[in-house]
Amino acid sequence: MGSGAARWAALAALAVPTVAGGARAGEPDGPWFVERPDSGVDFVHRRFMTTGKKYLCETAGAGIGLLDYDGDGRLDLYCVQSCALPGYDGAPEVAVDRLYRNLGGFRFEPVAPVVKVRVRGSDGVEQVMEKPLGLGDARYGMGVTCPDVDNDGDPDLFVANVGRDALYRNEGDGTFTDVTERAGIVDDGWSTAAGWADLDGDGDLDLYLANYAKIDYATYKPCTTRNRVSYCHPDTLESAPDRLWRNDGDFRFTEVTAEAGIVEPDEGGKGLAVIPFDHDGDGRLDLFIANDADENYLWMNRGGMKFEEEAGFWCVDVSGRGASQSCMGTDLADVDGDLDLDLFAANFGKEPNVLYVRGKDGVYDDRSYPSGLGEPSYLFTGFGARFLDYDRDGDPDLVVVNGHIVDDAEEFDPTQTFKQVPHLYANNGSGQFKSVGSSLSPFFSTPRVGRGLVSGDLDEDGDLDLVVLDNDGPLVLLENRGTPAGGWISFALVGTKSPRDAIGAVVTIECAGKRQAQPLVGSSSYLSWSDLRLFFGLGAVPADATVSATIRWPSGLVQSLERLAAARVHRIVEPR
Amino acid sequence: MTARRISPLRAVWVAPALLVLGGLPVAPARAQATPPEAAPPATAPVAASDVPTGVRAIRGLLEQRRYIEAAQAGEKLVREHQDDADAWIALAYVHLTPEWAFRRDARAASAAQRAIKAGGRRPDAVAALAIARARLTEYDEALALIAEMCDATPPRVAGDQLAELLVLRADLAIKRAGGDPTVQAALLLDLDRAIAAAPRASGARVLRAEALMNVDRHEEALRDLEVALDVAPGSRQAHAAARICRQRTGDAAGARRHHEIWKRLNRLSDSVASASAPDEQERRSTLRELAELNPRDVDRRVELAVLELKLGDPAAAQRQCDALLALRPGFAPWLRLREQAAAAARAVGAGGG
Repeated sequence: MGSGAARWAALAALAVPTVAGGARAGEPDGPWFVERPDSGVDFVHRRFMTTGKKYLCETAGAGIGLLDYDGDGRLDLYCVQSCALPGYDGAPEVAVDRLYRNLGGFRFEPVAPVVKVRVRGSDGVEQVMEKPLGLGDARYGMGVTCPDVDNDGDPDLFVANVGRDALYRNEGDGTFTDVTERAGIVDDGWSTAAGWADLDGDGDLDLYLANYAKIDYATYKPCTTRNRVSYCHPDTLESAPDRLWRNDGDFRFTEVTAEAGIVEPDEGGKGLAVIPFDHDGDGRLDLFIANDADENYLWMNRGGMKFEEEAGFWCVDVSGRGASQSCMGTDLADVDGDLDLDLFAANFGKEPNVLYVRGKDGVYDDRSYPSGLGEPSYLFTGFGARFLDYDRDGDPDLVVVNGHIVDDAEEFDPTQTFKQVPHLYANNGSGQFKSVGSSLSPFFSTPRVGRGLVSGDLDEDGDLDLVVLDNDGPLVLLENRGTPAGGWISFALVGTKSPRDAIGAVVTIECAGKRQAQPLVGSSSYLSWSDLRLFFGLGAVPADATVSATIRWPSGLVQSLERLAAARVHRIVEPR
Repeated sequence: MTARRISPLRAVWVAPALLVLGGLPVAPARAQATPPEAAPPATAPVAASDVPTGVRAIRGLLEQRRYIEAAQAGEKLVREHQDDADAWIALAYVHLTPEWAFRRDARAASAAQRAIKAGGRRPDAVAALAIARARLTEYDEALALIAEMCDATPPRVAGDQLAELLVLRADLAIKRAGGDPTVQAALLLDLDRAIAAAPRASGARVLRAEALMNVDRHEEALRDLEVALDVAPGSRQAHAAARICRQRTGDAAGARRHHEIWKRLNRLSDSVASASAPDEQERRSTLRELAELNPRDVDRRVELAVLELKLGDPAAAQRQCDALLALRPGFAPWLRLREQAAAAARAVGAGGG
């Protein structure tokens, strides 16, 4: 794959013979990704720095969620905010998480704390009345996930906080209800990533909650480097154990961490990402947990809600050189076109990002450097990470947003900066990547403290847009306006025997002789939740090409579909 | 001026320099582990009336892992001997110590440059600068310096130092274009040359094994790893590579054994802070397991003997010393440790009586 404006123009000139919705020939040259400050999203993340303490969590947040909360077919936006912690010495300020409604055409509006809802009275007459939105979490937020917890067809919300987490039930009328206490998901520690997957095969989503570290504001011992208070190394904090809850239906959960065998080795890990997927093809979803400064976990699902940790055996615990890494944002994709799934994790500065490529025997190989992802990432501290076929050429590319955790990193290491440029790596189809972002948009040349990152088709035009949230900075929407290399097809999966969100499903398509596979992960990237629809770029294929697809549902059911039209989102309901 | 002087210190800096790749011991590991009591006495701050004395003191501090004091002593030495290349090289190598979390690569580079200014392009100074440049990700500059040392006819360095620089070049090649078959071939040539110069350079063996694994030459890789583990049985990286290699060759049991050893080595060395690092009891328990799993790793067994003694089990310390002395009868540091353990055991017995 080429890159840059030349390629952009060349593709436009080629007028690639795509199916409908393909090349927008004739458009003026311009950036592939265009920032949309006019979108109406005015969210700015605040970290509320305590100058005398510098709690590590201040520099860790925060995530973003994409969800269609009101069922209008457009992806809305949930933004996670922080709050003042003990010792905060800045100006008083109230900040809460915010929900933005997508109005279409890349326009959003903040959803007010009180909304108008339509209610049908006992007399059958519909009335409009005001009702609290039910959101507005004001704790120190980290991550957000938007699963359909009760399989009722609308996304609910789970916000992972430093402090009490929050589970919100979507009432289906544009409002939410906090059901945390009722659900029994009580965790007052420093939670980060929430992985949702049907782990016991009963058709609903269970919850694996990654926790980071124990933090006690009263006894927190600031760390100093060269006589200055600085953010601590993760090893200075005691890890907080991850937890597992079984979904018993009707927003009731039972904690099963110990019974399930989720007993972390040694001092435990500091979890930052949870990826559910069926590693061994036994029909049960396993869990990959990315840990910061510790070995990663691969919890193998043995059935009956029992797990065994086998990251070491499958070689995804540490780098290929046997060193623990600081894994943060994580994602899963078939990077080399062999139809099995490979794992990626963004790492701390002076550790390359890691790409674990799955071999035929199921053992992963650290291909960070050979893939081209190692060297360009070596000096960067990566957080949000998403695979997406941004140019629709038929392979997963990769976006990583970067930013150090130490706000004066420059003072300690001349190779490091707090703000760092994001990266977009183009895949050549065989798992070889090249950093091309700076030629695609000024966004990729602008240093920032990137954290949350999601992808989704925000404007319903068949390509994937991006949303990035900086630590202590603004949220940025990036519209994909590039001239794609080909057509597209998308799948919105609706589980029946499987959970409605179908997390853990794998869709394999074939078009014009080329096959591709994509997993439906849910929680991915860094503390974030992307569009649950799967988007495939088709590359340059004949205009009349059709697509066949095989869906492996989490229930184990395998469904085959033939002659699907390209350039549309196919809503596929799992056969009962 | 010291330009005319041949460094008496070269041997001093071999050990730190070989750790350039973050855990890759290029040259042979210490021939025999010694308990801490046997380390040379250190004085800090160093009363560096002359450079050789100061350098010896810095070396002693490094061997005792007293890095901050070593850096302070180095700074003091170069303040007092600003035109002495050996002093600057000593400081540079303090900041090249890979296991020191607060080392400053930039200071290593500036000190190496000062050494070159004071003493000319001596191989040890240029090598130090190459390593520092690589750490600062100034790869092109590092590669030019390596070429200056290794590609001259004849090469300006030999033996361990040549091996070390060739390994560094191979490592940079992997980082920059490891997927390119041409690069793979070139870096294998460099590694062949490094191993010819220093056949028991474990870091070179491990890196060549990794390169061979990348081209599916697993049997050859295993042979390299066996040499590497013979030289450095406690190398985390070698065990990690051996695990992967054996897994790929279908030796699941062998892979698991290396993994079990690696896990324990990693546990002992992975955490930089007390909140996450194992306490002494856990450390002892892990070392006991390692002694069973990996009896050739005498460094860890000496550490275990010392810890047994410290934690009040002199009999266990004695047993460990006996096992060590069976490997090398009469080795003085271990005999001394055994005597300490025996004395402690007698004291316990007397106290108990």
